[in-house]
Amino acid sequence: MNTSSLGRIIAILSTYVPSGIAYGTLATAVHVPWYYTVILSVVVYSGAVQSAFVGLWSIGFEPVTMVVTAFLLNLRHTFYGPHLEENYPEMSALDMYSIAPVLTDELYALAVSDPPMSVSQVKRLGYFAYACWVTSSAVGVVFAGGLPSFLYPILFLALPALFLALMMPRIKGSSTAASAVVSIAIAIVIRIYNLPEYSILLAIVAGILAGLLFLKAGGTK
Amino acid sequence: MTYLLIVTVVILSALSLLQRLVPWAVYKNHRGENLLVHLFDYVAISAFGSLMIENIQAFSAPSLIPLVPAILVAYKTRNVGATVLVAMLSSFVLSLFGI
Repeated sequence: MNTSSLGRIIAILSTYVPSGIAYGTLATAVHVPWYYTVILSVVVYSGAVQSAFVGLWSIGFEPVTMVVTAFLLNLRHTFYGPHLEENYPEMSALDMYSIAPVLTDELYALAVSDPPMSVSQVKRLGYFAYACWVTSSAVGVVFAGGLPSFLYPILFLALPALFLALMMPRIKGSSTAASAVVSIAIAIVIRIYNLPEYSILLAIVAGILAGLLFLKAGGTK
Repeated sequence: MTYLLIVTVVILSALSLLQRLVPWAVYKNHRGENLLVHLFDYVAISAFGSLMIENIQAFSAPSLIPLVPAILVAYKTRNVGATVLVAMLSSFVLSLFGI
């Protein structure tokens, strides 16, 4: 195993394990039946949607709100598949059908970053991440409340650090820098004003537009 | 209630799958047009930047401090694992000082 493969495995373990345990713990804390907690991890496999499910469950389950929220939260996936297609032109339809169900923010991020992976590596990493998520959710259900509370903030920092590590090498000129600055600035405003989680789509779209505008105005990529 | 819950879980799982698969399948049939290629770098940067902020628990100015050494490591090494470990280590050290 080379260092970049090890780095990817560390990235997946350090992000999925604490997040999965936290999801399982939280769901148990708000009395979601254990089998729904685990089934959601198996069939939905989306930290954002599952967290929204737990949040809505705790304030009174309302199916229409849940489905609309899930749709909005998943909208960002619209870009991920086509980008992978562009990075892996050798990918067959069968590869697409086997990777798409396990395509997450983290897998997408790792798959389109340097150093490049092979299609089979993307697939293996996707199923490894899926196994980590499902197992960690179940562990969270079993050991709800057992993890020392001071560890959570430390473990939870892994996810933003992962996205930071994947973003930095892509900033190569003024237009990519503008894209990063605008999306981060809008995401900060969204957090400060506590706007709904799906508002993140606004930050992503604004970042894309800023990058394109800078490029059109003569900026470097 | 149980019936409603089962239907909701089925809809959520279908949504999660279709929203990942359909745009990809559509794009696969239109490859070669290359109109979107340029866009993807900005998509990635914007998505990573937004998700970084979105995933910070209990967002505040001090919560960003452990990311500063992580930025330096990411910039110097471009190593994902090292960046994540440095951020977690920084957070641990800061927690010892009550930050």
